[in-house]
Amino acid sequence: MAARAQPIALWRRPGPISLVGLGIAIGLLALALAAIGALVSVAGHGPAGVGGNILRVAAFTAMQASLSTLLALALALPVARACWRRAATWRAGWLLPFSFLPVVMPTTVAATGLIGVWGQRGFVSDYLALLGLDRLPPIYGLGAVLLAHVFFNAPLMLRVLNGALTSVPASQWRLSAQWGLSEWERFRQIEWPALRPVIPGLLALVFLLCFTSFSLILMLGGGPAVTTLEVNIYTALRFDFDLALAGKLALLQLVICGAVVVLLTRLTGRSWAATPRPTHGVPHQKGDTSTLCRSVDALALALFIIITMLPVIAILVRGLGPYLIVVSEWPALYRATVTSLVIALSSGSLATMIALVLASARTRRSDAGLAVWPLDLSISLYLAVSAIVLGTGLFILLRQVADVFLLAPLLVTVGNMLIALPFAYRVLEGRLAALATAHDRLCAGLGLRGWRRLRRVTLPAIAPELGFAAGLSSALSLGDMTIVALFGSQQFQTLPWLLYQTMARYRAGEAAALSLWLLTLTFLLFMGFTLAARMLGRRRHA
Amino acid sequence: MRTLLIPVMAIVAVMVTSLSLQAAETPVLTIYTYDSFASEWGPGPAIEKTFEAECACDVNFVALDSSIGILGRVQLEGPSSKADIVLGLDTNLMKTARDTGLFAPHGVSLDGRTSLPVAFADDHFVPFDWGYFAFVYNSEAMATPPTSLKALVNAPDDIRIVIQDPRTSTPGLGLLLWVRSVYGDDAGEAWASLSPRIVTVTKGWWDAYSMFLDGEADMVLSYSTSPAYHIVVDGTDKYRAAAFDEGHYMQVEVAAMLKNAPQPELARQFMDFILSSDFQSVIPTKNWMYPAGKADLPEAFDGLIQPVEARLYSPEDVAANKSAWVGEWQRALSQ
Repeated sequence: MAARAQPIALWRRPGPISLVGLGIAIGLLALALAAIGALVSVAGHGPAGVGGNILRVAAFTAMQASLSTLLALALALPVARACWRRAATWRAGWLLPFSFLPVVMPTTVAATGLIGVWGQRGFVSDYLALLGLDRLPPIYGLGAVLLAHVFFNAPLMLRVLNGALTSVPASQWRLSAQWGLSEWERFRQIEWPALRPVIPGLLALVFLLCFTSFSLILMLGGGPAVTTLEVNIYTALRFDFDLALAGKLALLQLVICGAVVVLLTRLTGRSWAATPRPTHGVPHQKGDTSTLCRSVDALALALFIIITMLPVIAILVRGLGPYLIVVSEWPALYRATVTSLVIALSSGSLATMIALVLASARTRRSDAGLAVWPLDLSISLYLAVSAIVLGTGLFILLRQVADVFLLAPLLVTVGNMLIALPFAYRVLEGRLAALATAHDRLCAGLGLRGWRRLRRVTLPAIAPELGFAAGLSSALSLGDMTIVALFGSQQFQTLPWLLYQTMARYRAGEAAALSLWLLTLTFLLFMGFTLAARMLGRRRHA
Repeated sequence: MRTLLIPVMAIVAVMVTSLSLQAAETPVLTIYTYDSFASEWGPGPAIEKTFEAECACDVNFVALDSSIGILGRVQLEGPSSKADIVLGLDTNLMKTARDTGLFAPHGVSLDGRTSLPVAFADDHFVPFDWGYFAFVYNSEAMATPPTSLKALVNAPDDIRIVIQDPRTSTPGLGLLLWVRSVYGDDAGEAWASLSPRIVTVTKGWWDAYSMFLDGEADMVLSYSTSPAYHIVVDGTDKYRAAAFDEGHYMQVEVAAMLKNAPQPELARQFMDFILSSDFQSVIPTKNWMYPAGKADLPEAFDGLIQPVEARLYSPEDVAANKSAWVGEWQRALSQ
């Protein structure tokens, strides 16, 4: 009896990985604060007081971010249910692999897609005109910003919510079918318990993304009335060169976002299982085939396709044409593609590895009853650190020890890695937590621990999530335009930077073709990781 | 372990590539400029080639995201900056730039070598090109554009314009100063009256310009030289700049050398080279601006509007007032 108790006690202990994870988390937090501190210290004077105007901006930002987040959830939830329910009959599952595209798209590219749908000469207006109706009025303002934020974030939510639904064991659905549970009962008894744990983390992530929104606000907001703290940070740094004020605003942003993250993640025990599991063997539920239920699902799917897929199609349509041949003859295209791929693969795999360590640490700590919020907080915070403040701060810190021109590729890699980390972490952490519950006893019984357990048991089981995390992280960094713009040099040119240079010289056709090329590459990179991981997982299982 | 190896190797590869590019024997002249100047379609490559032929040096353009980005970068780097020259500030930034104390007098004689519509004399900054801000419209869609700024401000609501944010964009700041120079203390009311016609305010010039090309607005704030691009490259003259009776606000782009330039002799040589015809002749069809020195203009520039007056605040006026004027703009458009 004593011989069996010992290994079980062992896996309850947090272990070295927990300390390593905590160390990384503290290091990340310190780095963010050091970057902000560097800004303030270079300024050489304390920041002026934050005026009432800034507090109004902060309040407006929070309102805008909350609305965006709730609207995205309101769209994603019915679509996730429809996708799950209609996976077999309508093949609605095909939406999922495409649905991550908006998440990783550079905002400038996305904005052209949105205008291609909702603009004066967009799909919708053209269609209305064809029917003899009035064209849409200009969309710019808070409404356009909300629409854009839903476009970016609803697909991510769909992915995660759908993952949560597919993690419900088939036995529960069989029971529900036997009992003939009503739609509402089913949602309350089966679906909600599966969705509830993932929703707070999801809301926190999307809130942060919308809170720190910048280019889109300036492009679609219609004027200075629609603004965010990030816009004010940028103008403090660039227009006024007031480093101290920028640092102070960045800190304010960090505090507000930090409070939201802590508040929301305290509500949850675990997070996401992002990869759909097979759904065969699930019987039809009562009412699934009713006209009402089918209409609701069809409406949700149609709305989702219009909001999140049409803009992508608009970018495809604009990009296809003779300019594709023009850009294909640029040597710069191939150089930039290679540079971008190297950066994307490096920062993507780094982010995935660090996320794996942190997620394992979280699982261990959670099992051992230790606090996990320091991990959640320090990682999520990278979404709340203004990219321009982070970049500028790192620049100030590192130029004292190294040549900045040599640093550019490294800084871009690290910067992109930091931005992708929260996504990768969320994806892996949910799956690891679920696995721990399933495997702990077994592994303890077999005496599998540490590296051997990771290689033999955990890695094959989480291969799909690893693929998703690596694909998402790489794709995110492939589309990055913010960080690369801070560290210029003639030799170092990524694809988004090439796109930016093309646009600055009137070349609309070439820019559209480059956008299409970038989008295709992003999709291939993501699919490559997903498929590779799936094959790897299958081989190991066999 | 293999998973760890790939990114490490990738980083090393990138570092080694950039190292090998840096490790040249010949002296390197480092020029900070904005992205589109250094890009393949900009004037950078041609200028680099001609200057390298006469200086026996390497010209290294470091492309930053905007003119304000260039100044911010040298301010961050301070006296230990590796830059010899910054190229791409404008008169609106001159006072701020001079006050940093990071720049040195250029020692270049400007007398009789410039062709600006306004007098320009400065011992720190050499102008390299200039242009007029103007609203560009599609003459096939709009037969009679407004003929003055006041007409635009008081135009019916069905004229839709797209402009840039003065805090993030050079043309945006240009329009702010244009309105201020025409309306004086009534600028706030003018903005409030213009406000319903503004479709949106974008971060950069291209965001606004591409929206205009996509038919989102009837007019876009750009340069009076924009139509020349469409004539030369697209072969169409349907895009025109609207001439305004009050005259047009100008932008003069300038270069300066740093006090602690690692290659002061080369830097001085380049400052003089700026006003040569080798440099200036590249400007019109590569930077789509007017050359600041003497150079022939291409045919496409013949039909461009000739403003009745060139408006330009002194660098000191801009530095002293821009924050207050931007505040005024923000308040007027936030109502």
